[in-house]
Amino acid sequence: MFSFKKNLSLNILYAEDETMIREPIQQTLENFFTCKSVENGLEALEEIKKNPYKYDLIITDIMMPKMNGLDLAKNVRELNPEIPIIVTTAFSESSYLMKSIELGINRFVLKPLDVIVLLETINQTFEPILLKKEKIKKEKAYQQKLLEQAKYAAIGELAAGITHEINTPLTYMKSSFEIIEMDIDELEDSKQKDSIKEDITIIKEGFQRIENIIFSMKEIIGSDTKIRKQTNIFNTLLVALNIAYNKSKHITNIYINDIEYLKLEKDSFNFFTSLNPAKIEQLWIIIINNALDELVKIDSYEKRKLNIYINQDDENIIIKFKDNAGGIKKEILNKIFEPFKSTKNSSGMGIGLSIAKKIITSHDGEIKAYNENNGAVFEVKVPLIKD
Amino acid sequence: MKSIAIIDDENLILETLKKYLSRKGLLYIDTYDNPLNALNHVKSGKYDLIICDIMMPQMNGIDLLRQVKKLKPSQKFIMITAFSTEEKIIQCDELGADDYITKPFISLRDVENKIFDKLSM
Repeated sequence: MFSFKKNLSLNILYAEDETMIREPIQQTLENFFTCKSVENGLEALEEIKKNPYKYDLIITDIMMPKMNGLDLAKNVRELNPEIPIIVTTAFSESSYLMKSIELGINRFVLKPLDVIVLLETINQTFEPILLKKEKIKKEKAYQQKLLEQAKYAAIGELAAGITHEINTPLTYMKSSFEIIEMDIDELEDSKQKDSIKEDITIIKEGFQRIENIIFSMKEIIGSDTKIRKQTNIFNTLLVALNIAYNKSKHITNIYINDIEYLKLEKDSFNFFTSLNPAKIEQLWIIIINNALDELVKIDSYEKRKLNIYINQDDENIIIKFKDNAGGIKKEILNKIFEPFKSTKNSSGMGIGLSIAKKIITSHDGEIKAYNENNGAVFEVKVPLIKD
Repeated sequence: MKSIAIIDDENLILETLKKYLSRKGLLYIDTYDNPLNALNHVKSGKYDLIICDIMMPQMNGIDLLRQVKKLKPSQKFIMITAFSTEEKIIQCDELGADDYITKPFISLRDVENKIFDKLSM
């Protein structure tokens, strides 16, 4: 028995005036392909005119009312010279054959139709099309990859330039400001002092924000290095949470494996693997900040939730960050790790998560994002490596 | 009193560091905005600690570290880095730098703590 591959993405247009032939053949073809059948050449032509590239193959009888198969072929060729055409014919006369060759008919199947022969002919015709489609798909993916690389390179250059320029003034501004703050602390208490201290808090937050941007930029600029050591991943989480604490304390309580993180200590949990701790800490900070930026949109502190779950299987340590901020918009869910895809309009330009992806990929791990129970989940897998 | 030298091509950074670190009156501080000029002074070994930026136009901090260590292996060094890669930090480490500080500083207090730590103060 012959076996034929089912491929419903392939579209066939079938023209045949005899119902007794058309219907059973269409039914058979529909088991393997997407097939539309029409009763004559004119109808077929109308169908092609609607969209000359919708169909991957035309099968047509020759003798039909209104427009015969060869005239159909001639007209179709003007609209789409590429589309393959199979002619089914009871006529083996040379005049038809000659005309068919002139029109570029790809193949013939003799009537009465043998379904197996027809299917084989279709498959032979489709084979180069499938190869071409596959090639186009690969080419497209390759182009996409090049585009992404170019995007990264452009960001890198831009980031390096700007970051260098900003970092120096930031350093002395922040330092001078620290001195100012100390001086103010030494002043006698007054309303004015309180007011200045309020302003100080705002300016400090501003510095922190600029610093965070610089920090993410450094990741793009910095070269990939392979400095890894056996590290308790749980501890890197604690470090990241401590760094984010200034921000998180105003937004929500954070739990690790259902325990409030502030109650946990270094080595409360043990999940050891080989990694670059500084990079992995940065990865957590990006994900945590991302969650906090979403959670802050919920109106009250009590309603916000950020849970982190950490566990391991035979191959990976799995860390999940789960919030209840409504989840990620469907349109960006599959692009969320590409640079400049942020939907945020305040806190960043959408490079954070692309950096997160870069970090975890350089650790041979994985990151994915999905929605669950009205919230977003970021799931990170880090491979278990023993030195 | 312990003496330190700070080398950075950015004068405003030097000024702020000096202003802060002088406050307690525990350190004698010289600052240099040109590493070539600094090299002549620090080679003599008169400083207990040298704090040196890595990326500077006239001469980079790693070269300065290398040259001084050749003359005085026990010279204490803290390197300042802004965008140095880990390779550079490792290089400094191999050349015998004692610690490093990243720009922007976490806080001046943190810088001070590192300095005092290296000077066993």
